[in-house]
Amino acid sequence: MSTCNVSIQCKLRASVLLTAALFCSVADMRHATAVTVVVANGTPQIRLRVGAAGAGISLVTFTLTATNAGNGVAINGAPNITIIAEARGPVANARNATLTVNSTAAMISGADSIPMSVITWTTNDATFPVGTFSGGAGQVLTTFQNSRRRTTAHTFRYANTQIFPAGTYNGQVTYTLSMP
Amino acid sequence: MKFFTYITIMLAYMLCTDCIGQVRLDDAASPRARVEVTPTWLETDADEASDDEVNTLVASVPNVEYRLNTATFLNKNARIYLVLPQSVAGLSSAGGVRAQWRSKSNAFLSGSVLLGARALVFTGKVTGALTTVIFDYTITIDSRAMMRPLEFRPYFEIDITP
Repeated sequence: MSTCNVSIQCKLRASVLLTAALFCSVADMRHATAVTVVVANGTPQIRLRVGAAGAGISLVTFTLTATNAGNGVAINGAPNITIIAEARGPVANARNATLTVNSTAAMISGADSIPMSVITWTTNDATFPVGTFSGGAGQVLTTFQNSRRRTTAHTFRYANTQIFPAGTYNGQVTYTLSMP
Repeated sequence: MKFFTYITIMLAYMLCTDCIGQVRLDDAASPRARVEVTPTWLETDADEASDDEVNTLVASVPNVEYRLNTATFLNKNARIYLVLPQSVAGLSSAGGVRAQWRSKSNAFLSGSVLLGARALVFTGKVTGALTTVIFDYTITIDSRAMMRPLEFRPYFEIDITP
C-alpha cells in the first residue's frame, strides 16, 4: 500500500511538471516580439561662440586720451564679449573639452605694436577664471567635461602702465574649443 | 495528493486567467525586425542651457509598423497598451528615456510613455486576426545614461474588457 501511494504521487508530480512546462512554453510564445529599435550613439559635438551671434568678428575698443595714457589706471574695453562653449557626447563626464586662446599677434599701428599681454579680463562665470593674455598660443582658459555648456561675458581691460606712440592699434585673438 | 491537486488547479487557473487578462501580443509578423536610427542633439537657442538640455538626444523613428496577432481576441472588447520595458540594453540607469509616438492608424491613439510604464493606445472591439499599427516614434534620451547604442523593444499588451 505504501509503495502504491508513492507511485501515485510521482505521477501527480509528473503531471504538475508537465503543466508547468506547458505554461512556460505558452508564456514564451506569448512574449514573441519582432521589432527592435536601435538608437546609435549621439555624434560628439562642440560649439563655440565668441562675441556677437552670427558671422563677423566682434571688436573691443579701449579709448585713451593724451591725459590718461600710461597713468596706471586700467581702461575698460567695450563691449563685453559673450563666450559660449558647448561640448556634447554620449556618456556623461567621459571626455574633456578645452577652450584655449591664441594671442601671439600683437596689436599693430603702422610700425608700432603693443603686446596682447597688456590685456586682462574679468568674467561673470566662475568656471571661466579671470586672466591675462599670455601673448602665446594655446593658453588654456577653461576645461570642462561633457556634456555641458559654459557661458560667460568677459570684460576686457587695458593695463595702461606704459606710454606707446599715438595711433590706433588693432589686433586679433583666436579662441579654440576642442574635445579630443 | 491534495497538495499536488491544488498546485495543478492553480497552474490551470493562472493559464486560464492569463488568457482572458493582460496578455503580451505577438508582433512577430511585423515587417521590420530591426530599425536603426541616429539621434541628434536637442537644439536650444538659449545661451544658458541647462545641463539636462545640453545632454538631451532626440531620435526620430518614422513608420514603425507592427502586425499584432490578435486572432485570440477577435470580436472581443479590449484595451491595448504600448509598453516600454524598464530594461534597455545600453542604458546605465532607467531614468531619462521617454518615447512619444504619433499614431498613423486611425483607431490607435498617440501618446508618450516612460521606461517601465505602459500607455493606452486602443480601446474597442478587436476586428481582425492581425492588427496593423504604424507609429512615428520620437525618443528622447538623456545621453548621460547612455553607455552604448540603445536597444528598445516596445511591445503591446492587451486586456479583455467586458
